[in-house]
Amino acid sequence: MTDTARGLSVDALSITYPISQGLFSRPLELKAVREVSLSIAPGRTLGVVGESGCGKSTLARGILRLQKPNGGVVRWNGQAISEFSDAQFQRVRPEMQMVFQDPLASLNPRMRVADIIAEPLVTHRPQLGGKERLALVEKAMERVGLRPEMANRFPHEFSGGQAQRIGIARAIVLEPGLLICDEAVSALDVSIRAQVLVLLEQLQQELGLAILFISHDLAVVRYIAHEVMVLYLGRVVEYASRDVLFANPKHPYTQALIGSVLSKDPQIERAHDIPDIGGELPSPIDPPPGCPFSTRCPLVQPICRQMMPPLVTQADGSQVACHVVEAEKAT
Amino acid sequence: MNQPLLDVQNLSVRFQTESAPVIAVDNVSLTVAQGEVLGVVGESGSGKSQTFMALGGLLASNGKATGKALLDGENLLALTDRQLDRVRGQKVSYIFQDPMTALNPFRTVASQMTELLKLHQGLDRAGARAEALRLLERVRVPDARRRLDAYPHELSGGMRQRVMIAMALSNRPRLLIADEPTTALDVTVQIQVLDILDELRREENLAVVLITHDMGVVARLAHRVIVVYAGTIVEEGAAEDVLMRPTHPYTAGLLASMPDLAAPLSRLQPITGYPPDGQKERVGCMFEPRCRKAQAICKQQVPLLEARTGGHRQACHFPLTSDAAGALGGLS
Repeated sequence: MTDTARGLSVDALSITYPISQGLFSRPLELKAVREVSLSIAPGRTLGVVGESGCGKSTLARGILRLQKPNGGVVRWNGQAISEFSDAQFQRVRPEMQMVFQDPLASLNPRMRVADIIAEPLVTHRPQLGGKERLALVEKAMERVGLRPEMANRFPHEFSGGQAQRIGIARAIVLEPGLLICDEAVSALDVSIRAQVLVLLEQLQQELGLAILFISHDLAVVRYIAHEVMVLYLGRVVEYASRDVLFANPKHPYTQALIGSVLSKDPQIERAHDIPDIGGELPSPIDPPPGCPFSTRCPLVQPICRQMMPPLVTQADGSQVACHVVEAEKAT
Repeated sequence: MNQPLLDVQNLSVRFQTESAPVIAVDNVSLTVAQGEVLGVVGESGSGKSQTFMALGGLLASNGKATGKALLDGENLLALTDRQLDRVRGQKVSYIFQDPMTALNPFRTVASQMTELLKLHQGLDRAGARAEALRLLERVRVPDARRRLDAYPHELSGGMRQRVMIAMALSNRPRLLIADEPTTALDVTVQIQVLDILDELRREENLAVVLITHDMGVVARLAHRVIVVYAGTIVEEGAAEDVLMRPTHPYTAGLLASMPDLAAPLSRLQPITGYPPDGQKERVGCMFEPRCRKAQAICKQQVPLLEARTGGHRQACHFPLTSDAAGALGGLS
């Protein structure tokens, strides 16, 4: 959360999508990400959680400039890369790689595995000779647990779990410093998901990766992340270390999210009450005034509907944006 | 327990392909009673869905089911298409994972629901609309009157799945087959939809088959669980026994692969390797190549689903004893 020189740091990033209303009317604005700040040091993982439409994926796209931010600064190893020209950005881009949700959809079906993994090298390190390139591809394959004889196969010959290993090999072949995993294990079967999570942990140790791990699965995030950020309608509502967040969630939305996660223990489930939040996510095109969660919050007060609560640092180091949490501290 | 509503005996499903036939389901027997939720757990390709698609005659055209599936004593696998239509219209309903692809995007909720109600219950237009409204309220769709005239894209994922459940209820089924009904939903919505299913089960005395890969979903709703691997049932028993004291190494491995917020943080213990494809020759235990406890006999002899330990059934020559495994601790 502090501004580290090494690693990723994002300051007040905002991303807005224009929504076309037809030829003659002014486009509406969908504020997908609103003033989000974060930092990830090398070797650390930040988990980003929230429900569909909360802006998790847009945040990742904004950091990698796949979507142009409207405001805020992205720093990589101290350099403000969001201010870079496209040519300058191309030079740092190899240091930041992404792994996507659907492994098969993200691999070109007509390319052989070795060529898929080699593609970032062809793009970003064209000076490499064929032999050197092959050596790097083989090293990446070994790191993710793919056997060398798989190099000449096509993606459809692989199961989802193996395909995701190919996607990860492609992402690490340039030995990046930052890995963005956008629901990277969500489409995988349970036994394969665990393999990939363990693999990510290993790679992080080997390569000193900073990982931005986007997921809707809180149990997985608790497993893999050191810090956790909770997003709601594009805003950070809570940001804390993993242990603090799961042991003592403070924002009513975080509490509801954690309270909705099912346990595999039937006895716990029998006594598990549904958290008291009504309704569903409001439209991000027309967000409620004040706190974005006020329309569903069980603790809502009049002020919540008028004023957006600021993100305040708490005694235990966590950051929470909630009027009720602040009011309780005052009493 | 009284006479089961559904009694499946030695069901096999195979698909003819250009190369070898694929065996998706291999000799599966199971029962579901009225008022009972049977959890069916397995990974993609395990055959968990195909088992229940076969019952409704919903296999792809190259698929063939053998064995028996008795619903109220009537063998569904021996029925003509016309007879099967009657059963699907009166006794069995399905809910699938993705409500958006199951709903017609060009027609309102009311128009899709009343079509079914006119067909299944012979209601007139006004009667069907009233019944559609009642069903939407039954699955707690807020502001149901207004939502009747909405198009599917105007509804959230959770609302669409409620509409699907309401539609599934329109033929007053006795057996509800829910295939990953909450997998596409956000966590806060998932738990609401699961509880609606459970309420319906209780109040209508429905038999529910809950097909899922998520042990948490099973823990919340299921009374009994079967664990499916490579087309066979590897473990079957009361939810509490199977989830808390798994005896098959595959079940234990699945549980140890799933982090749980309610348990202290511990290292995941993934199962190594990948599931076999359906063309693999079926000799011995199908899990043997991935099993840490495998011995010579496992390669040669198929383990039968029998009660060897733990008070429930497992298809394993060397089942785990209760202190060796546990849902929350995983394998230690």
